[in-house]
Amino acid sequence: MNPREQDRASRKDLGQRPSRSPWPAGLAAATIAAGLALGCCRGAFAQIPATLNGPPVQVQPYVAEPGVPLITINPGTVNPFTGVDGDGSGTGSSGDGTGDSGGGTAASSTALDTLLAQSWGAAAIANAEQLGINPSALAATCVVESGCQNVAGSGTIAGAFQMSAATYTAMINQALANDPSLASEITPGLAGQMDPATESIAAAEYLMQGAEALQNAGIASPTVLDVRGYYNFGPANGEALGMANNNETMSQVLSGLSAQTLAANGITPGETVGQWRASVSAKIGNAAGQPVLT
Amino acid sequence: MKGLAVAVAVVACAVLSGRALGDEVHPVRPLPGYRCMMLNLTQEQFMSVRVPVRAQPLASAPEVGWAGTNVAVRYPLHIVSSFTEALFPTGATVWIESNKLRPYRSLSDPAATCTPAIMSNGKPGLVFAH
Repeated sequence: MNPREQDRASRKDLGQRPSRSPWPAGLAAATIAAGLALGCCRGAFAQIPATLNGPPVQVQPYVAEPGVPLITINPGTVNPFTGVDGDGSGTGSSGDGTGDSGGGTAASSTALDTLLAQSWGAAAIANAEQLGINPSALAATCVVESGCQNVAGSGTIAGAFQMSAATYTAMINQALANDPSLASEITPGLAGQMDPATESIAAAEYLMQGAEALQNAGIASPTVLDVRGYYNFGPANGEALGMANNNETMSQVLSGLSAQTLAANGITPGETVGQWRASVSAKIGNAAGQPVLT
Repeated sequence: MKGLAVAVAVVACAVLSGRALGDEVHPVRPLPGYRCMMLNLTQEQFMSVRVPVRAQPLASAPEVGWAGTNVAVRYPLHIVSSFTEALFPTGATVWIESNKLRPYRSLSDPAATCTPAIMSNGKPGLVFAH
């Protein structure tokens, strides 16, 4: 048998001979599967999460399309809290009056991103920090109140933070009394109510007072959710809500408000404090559990 | 072995759910000698007015804090110099101007009741029911 015939014979043998591999077939298959899995996983691990800071990269057309308007995206302000991911988780608003503490820290939040997208967002954040308020708490307030839009409300309520004229005046005066240097930054008089950067000072002052009221009542580190009742329903109701248990109804706790007033504030008949807290948290997002005071 | 794993999982779930349920304080016993009242304010005032609670029955006494909508007051009423003795959520005895109080009756739920109680955290609280 010449070498070529030997080779052909050996190939035929290989084709007919049962496998003599030292590994069982199942083990080999498992090894291949594991290898494939590892390969896939490596691909997944290789994807590094990136945080979007500002608007996504935009297509820059070099030929104008007739009839299509020019769209300009306001990049807003760069989020100064990127990389600090406050998840907002916490135990706030358990209504136990034992000094709940926010699990999150003064940090980034989806509400803060919304505020930063406004032209006046950076000024509002600076005001919050100057007054000792977590910027995310201020951001959550304008998100819930107006979507951070400078709009009119009912009666004397107006602005991005939807404060009544009386509350705005009282709070801006208190803030200026505490820190006269703010006077150079504000729009004076009631016109400041419709200047979001100025109104943010009054709103931050109101949040501060709400947090301090709850601290006096025994909640050591009031969260954004804790103070939300104070901002929405006033001092007495805010404290009552802050101390209430989830299974109690809003009607029982906010005993001084009529059904019509509750309805005007989005409270449905029989709604529990827990349900109200859940709906507010859904609007506020991950800022809900963050502390108000920094 | 599988049975042991199932048992461990069940116990873990039970412990975790127990903790979750136990997170919120709950009333453990009534608070004798106290009764619920509420602030005597209009709806508009509830939205803006702060009613101070003081350490002594004097207008010049230091403010301990601000009253919530519903207040646990000493009963029978203990009134000194037009101030009514009450209990703050921290457990401190405080005094509120008597004319700032009225009996508890929810405007939107007249059948609701309010009862002062000692909560599981040892602090005074209010229990609402029907």
